[in-house]
Amino acid sequence: MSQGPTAEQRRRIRRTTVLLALTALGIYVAFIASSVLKAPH
Amino acid sequence: MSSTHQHGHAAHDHADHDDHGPAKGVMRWLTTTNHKDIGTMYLVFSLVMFLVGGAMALLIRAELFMPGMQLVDPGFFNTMTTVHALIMVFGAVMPATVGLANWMIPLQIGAPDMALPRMNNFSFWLLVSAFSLLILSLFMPGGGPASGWTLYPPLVLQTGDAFPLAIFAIHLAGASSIMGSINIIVTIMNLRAPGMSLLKMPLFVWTWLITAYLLIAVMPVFAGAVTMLLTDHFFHTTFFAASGGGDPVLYQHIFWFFGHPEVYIMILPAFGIVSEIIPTFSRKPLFGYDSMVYATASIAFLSFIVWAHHMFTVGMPLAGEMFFMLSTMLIAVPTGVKVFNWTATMWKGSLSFEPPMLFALAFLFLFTIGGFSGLMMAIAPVDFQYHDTYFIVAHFHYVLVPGAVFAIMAGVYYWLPKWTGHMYDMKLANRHFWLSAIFVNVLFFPQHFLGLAGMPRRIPDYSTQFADWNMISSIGGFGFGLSQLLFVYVIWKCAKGGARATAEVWDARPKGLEWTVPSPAPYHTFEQAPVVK
Repeated sequence: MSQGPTAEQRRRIRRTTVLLALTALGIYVAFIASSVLKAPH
Repeated sequence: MSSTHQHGHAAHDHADHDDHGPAKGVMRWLTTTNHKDIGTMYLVFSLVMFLVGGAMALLIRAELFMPGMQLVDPGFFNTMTTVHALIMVFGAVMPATVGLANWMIPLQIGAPDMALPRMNNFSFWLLVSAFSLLILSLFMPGGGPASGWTLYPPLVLQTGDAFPLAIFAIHLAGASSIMGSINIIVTIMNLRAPGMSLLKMPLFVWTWLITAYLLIAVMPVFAGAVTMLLTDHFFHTTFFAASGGGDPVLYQHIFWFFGHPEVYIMILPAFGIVSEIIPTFSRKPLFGYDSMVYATASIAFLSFIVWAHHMFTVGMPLAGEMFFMLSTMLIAVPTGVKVFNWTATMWKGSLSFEPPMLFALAFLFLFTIGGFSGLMMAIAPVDFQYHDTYFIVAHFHYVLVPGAVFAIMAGVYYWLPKWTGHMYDMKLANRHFWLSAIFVNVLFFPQHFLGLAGMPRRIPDYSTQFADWNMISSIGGFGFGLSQLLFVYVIWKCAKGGARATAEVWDARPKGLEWTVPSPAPYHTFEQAPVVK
């Protein structure tokens, strides 16, 4: 009989996933934004 | 009676739901969320990409067999060097280690599956889409990307209609890698068996955990860089165009801020595989487990502060050259710790030389050669001589082929009986090893001499003074390429049948949770979490 992750584990999985995804997205956006700000106008 | 029957029927249905095997037909592979299926798909995909990228390498070596232009025009030659590299890095080596991670991490930490099984499936199919696009870009007007895998502007901006396809392919492959990394991190951090503390995890799991963090940190940087290339090409921005006040050297800094950690993204899982195999076939525990973990983390940290050693010749302040020279040399310390620990593990061990151990030993010797040539290039004034020569080609191929690829092959030979339930043909696997080990040196060692003599990389024609070593290198290339057909045959034959493998597979009594489940590993494993003492 399958014993999937507990509710607490699921909560932590969701939280870590969102945190890591936001980190990746943040690095991507921040990187382009900093280049835009430094670009000559 | 009726009620009991209904109850029993419901219970039966429920059990069917929980203990079902794989779906039938092609839908199994399209929709699977099982980590073993997805691991298999990643491994098969990487093998196909290895053969496609290998065929491109053979075309390159065939052109370089003799001075003069033989087979392809220079533009197509440049496309081949570019796409060969992109396919081998992002399509062969990385997916192979992701495939091994998918198969082995849940088994090694006692988890029933990856934490995010649907995203796991999506990551894989995104990768397939990415490489379909990249390969299709070869057929666009103007040919495929031809600026080298570094995609330096302004050269890359001259790519024809293939440009947006290649950039989109890189974005998709990057998104796939990031999703795969998130999955690996959340799985390791949340689904370890009770009692398995971080410092009880197998080294392969540790190296992948650190690799996954590296990927999340640097893949968005590369994605940002290629997005800016895209806007420079289509929306007339000038991030990297000097004519509009931009800076092409900025791209090089950004690329190598991603590119150097990328090297460790490929090699750290290889370290993990070798750290599993050497103790097993030495019949001793790994020497210095804790120091191996800290060395891996140190290498990962240092990989962020060495990037400009790839670009000493663009010109930078002396202090910058000194910093990047010394920080690069510092990487030799944790790497030396690892090589020392693997050697110390074998010291006075009861060694046996099954195919995984042979490949792991070859890794140890030949990766170290690649490491030493890397140290030579870290010396800034000397690098001015080596830069953009075949010495560089020899260096990184030693790190990636008898380094990363041999470790992956060692891992496949180590765990294949666990996956298929059959032992493979040891005699053929040994032959595959010896042919590969000999030909890989015939292929790449002469390239050191060519580079030191001044032969530049990425050229389809060369001065006659380089003819002899090029011919030998090409012979080695064809020998190595053909030897890999033996690898494919051994795997295919093992998947079809063979002597039954026991749960432990190897007489050497390997340690770890993956060896406690039967061979082949059942479709669902560790539905009840094991307890680790």
